Amino acid sequence: MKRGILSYLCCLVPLVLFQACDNTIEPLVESESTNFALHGYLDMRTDQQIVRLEGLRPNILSEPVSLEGVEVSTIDHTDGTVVIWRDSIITLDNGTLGTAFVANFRPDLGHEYSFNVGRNGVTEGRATTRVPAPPVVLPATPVGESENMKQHLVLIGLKDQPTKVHMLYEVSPPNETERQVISVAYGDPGFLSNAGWELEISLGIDRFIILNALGLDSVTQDIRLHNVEMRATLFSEEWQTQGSEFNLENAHGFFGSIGVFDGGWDIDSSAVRKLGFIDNQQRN
Amino acid sequence: MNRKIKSCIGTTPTVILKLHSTVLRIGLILCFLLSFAAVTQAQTSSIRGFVTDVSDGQPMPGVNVILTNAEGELFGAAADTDGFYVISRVPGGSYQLKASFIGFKDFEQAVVMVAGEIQSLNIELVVDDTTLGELVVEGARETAGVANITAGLQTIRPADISLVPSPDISADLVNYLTALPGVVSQGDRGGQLFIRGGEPTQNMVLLDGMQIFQPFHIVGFFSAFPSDIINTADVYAGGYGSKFGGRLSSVIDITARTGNKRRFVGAATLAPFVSTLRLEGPLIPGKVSFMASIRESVIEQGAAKLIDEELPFAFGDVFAKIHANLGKSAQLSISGIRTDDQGQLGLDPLLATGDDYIADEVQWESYAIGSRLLFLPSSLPVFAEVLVNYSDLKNQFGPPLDPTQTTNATYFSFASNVTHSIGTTNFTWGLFLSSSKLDSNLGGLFQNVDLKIEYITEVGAYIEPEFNPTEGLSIQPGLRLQTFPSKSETFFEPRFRLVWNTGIHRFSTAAGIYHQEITGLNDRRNAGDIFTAWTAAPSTVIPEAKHLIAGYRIAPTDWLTFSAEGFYKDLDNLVVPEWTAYPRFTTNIQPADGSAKGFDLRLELGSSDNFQATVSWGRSEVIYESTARALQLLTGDDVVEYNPPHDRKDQLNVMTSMKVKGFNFNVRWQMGTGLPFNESLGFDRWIMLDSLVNVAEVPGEERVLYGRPYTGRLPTYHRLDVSLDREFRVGPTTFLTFQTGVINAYDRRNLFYLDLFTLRRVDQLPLIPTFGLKLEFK
Repeated sequence: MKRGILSYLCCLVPLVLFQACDNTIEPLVESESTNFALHGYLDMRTDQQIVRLEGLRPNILSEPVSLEGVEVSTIDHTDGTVVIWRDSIITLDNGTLGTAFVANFRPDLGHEYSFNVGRNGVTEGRATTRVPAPPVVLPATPVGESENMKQHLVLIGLKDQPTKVHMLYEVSPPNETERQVISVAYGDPGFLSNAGWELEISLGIDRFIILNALGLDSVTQDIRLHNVEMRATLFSEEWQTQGSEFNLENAHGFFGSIGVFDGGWDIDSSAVRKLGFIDNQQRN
Repeated sequence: MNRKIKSCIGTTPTVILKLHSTVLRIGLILCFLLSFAAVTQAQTSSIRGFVTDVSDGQPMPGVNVILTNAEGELFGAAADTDGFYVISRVPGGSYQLKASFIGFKDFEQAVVMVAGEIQSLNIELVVDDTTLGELVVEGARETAGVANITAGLQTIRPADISLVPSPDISADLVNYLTALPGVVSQGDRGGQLFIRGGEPTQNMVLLDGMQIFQPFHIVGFFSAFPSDIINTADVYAGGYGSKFGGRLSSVIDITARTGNKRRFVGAATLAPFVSTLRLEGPLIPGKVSFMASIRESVIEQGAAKLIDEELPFAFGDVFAKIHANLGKSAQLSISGIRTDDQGQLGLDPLLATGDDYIADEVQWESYAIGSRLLFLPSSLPVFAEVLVNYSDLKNQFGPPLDPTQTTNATYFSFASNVTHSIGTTNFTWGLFLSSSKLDSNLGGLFQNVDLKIEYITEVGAYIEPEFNPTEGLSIQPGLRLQTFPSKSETFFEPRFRLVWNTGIHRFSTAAGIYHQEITGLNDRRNAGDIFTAWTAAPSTVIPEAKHLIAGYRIAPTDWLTFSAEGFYKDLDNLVVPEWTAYPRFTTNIQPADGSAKGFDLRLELGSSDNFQATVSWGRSEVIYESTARALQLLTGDDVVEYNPPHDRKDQLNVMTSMKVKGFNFNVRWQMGTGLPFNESLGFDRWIMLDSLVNVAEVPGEERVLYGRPYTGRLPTYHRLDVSLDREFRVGPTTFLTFQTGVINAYDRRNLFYLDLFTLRRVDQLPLIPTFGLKLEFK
């Protein structure tokens, strides 16, 4: 027992002395591989994708970490397509330089992508995103008369507020065969519910906007309505939980995606007539 | 047993009735006590008064006053901090009264006690020339001792403070406090003390009853209280009684000396850090005295030149007190204090270019003024005091001449405390009223806090009887009622203290529930930022603490004392900064719960002026728990536990004091294990992607990426301080003291803080030789 206590003290005393003499600080969390910061998103609205990338610096005054030899690629896990990205030095708004990686492709709705950063064929940092799947549109019967006519929509499956919502009306002016698409901007309308995303389409007001766009007066009756569609920009899940970085491995910042949803539906013929259009929709 | 009534105003009549009935009940109890005291007094008699030193009129706490009759029956009491004593429930008859104290001649007088009467007898003790050496007046007023701790309470006297080596020839209370286990200081700058797990804003510091918001100077060797002005300091590291409230962690209750009522005396000192001047004397001899003390730092002219290092700190304080004896049964004192500090602690890396750093400057100015009336009603065995105080703090932080954060707190209070002495039982009760105005501009420091000017009124009452059923046993249950009409908050806070002295042993315990309505907000992620914004706690999350302390002390001989004490503090609704992925220059505040637990061991050797040594070891752990969303996202845990930046696991203090041929030689060695700090993952330029931002254009903001909170530990802190002084008589009442010493004798590079942005370490003071000179007229 006594020997045990002595042994313990013999170990403890040098340990305490060593600790007392040690005056070093390790301010950085140790990591075996480079930690990257990436900021960007895959964008269905364009054929060119851009993501900013930098290596984490040990302090604020450090020079940017060299990204020489860094390889970036994306893999489309839905169809297996691999795209290699190329680096590009960009001049930012404040005149400083940054490094962006660029690739030419357009992501697809509902596809899952991984964004891989590494060196010598070894992936060191990874980010994943799934471009939102197209929602199912559930239109209600239009209600109201003339300029007050509205239609309630539910976009089933959406978990986040879409943005840049537009209604696209394909119409032919009186006595013309050529079709025109009139776009009516809705901004960021509606609200999220348990069912998905819900909003009201103001069909009556939209008609006046269409007439105005075609240069017609408000009593014009013989416009043919061929097609009704909605276009909305959809955000991936990552946009809802900024700061969580749940989709990043050995990486920090933000990586997400946005999809562009185009979806149409038929408006009831009697409602089209009440609006003052001639119904020329191709019924499914 | 804690009851909290919400919405007592403007809500249900039932709740209002309950509150009223509670107040009524307390009133009835007080009436009962008064009538009981009067009835009891009719059958017996009491004697009471103040004990003072005849040489200067100073009150003498701790003097034993004993009545003895012909049958050998003994009745006695000890004088309190004010020198007040009372012996009650004494049967009528003839007695011999004797008052005794080490270093003074016994005072003896025959008294006749008449049933139903209360006598007043003030006692003046004379220094005993036979025991008095040339210069031992201070020593005769004895030390309280490091190991003399009772259920969290430690009484400190100037003689204790003088045992600690200090860079100033006039010792300072803070140097003694930082030598106590369980007291963690931020270092030799910053002026922040953490007591048994509590944060600086959770400590209540009172000087003659005045609340001092910022009691410590920016240089960690100095408080606003030089030992020359202190009579006693009661430090409650927890478990304090019902008289105190409004803070979660601790109370430091300081009583200043009264000025000399017989003659004019004073002192002037010169040292590398600070110069002081103290004057005191009678305004009306024997009745009214004054004392004034002024200190001003001379760091740039002194210490900075000694070590050839920039020390951008300046501070000063002024204290004054007038004390008057209003007849035999009343005393009035008026005290005032003003402190000012400024200095550069932090770094602003974004303004830094190369090595030319521009440091933020912290500045604060506080003042307080208060009055205290003590009186003894002629017909009741009652000791009463009435206190009226006003305190003010202005604090600012940011680039010099352009502060980004400011706070202004003012506090007015009225309190009355009454003690009924009925035999061996003391019933203490009191009423209090306070009003605070809090006004802060945080400059966006906390993203989710937008402070407005707030007015907070507090009204309350407390009762705290002290029962002494057998010799050596003291039981003090207590109850404090605090209500905040403007916030519709009411708290009942039960308290309890028990002390049992049996032979050489002392057992003690204390417990209580505490709330803090007015809290201080700090961004503790950065040690260089000591700015504190005072604000009212959110209504639904008032910080709360529950304390439990248990201790044991043994004094087998006159020269050996050992004590052990354990403590546990349960903390709820603390307000702490949170970690987010957003840039580090701003943050949110969030609620957190936590606990502080640990124990202290203290050993004290020697009791004479010739040799004293103390060794103390404190071990503790402070844990905060947070369920803040940002931390959950960062760590992936539902509840995130971490050790806050003041969690010092182990502290070891060794002090010795020797007197050889008139030379006082003091040594102190301190060691504390490293404090937690936030480790960094690295830096990036963060782009806020809350919309469809073009990442090829937006530059982004500099950001530090933190790991889990406070996973790193700074290196161990240790330091050796040595001082040597000698007093010489240069005239009949004039003395000159020389002091020399070394602070940080083996030049340990102790870290003050590490700036994560630049990885630049800011160290505490290196080896500093000190020299001091004191000229004193006694």
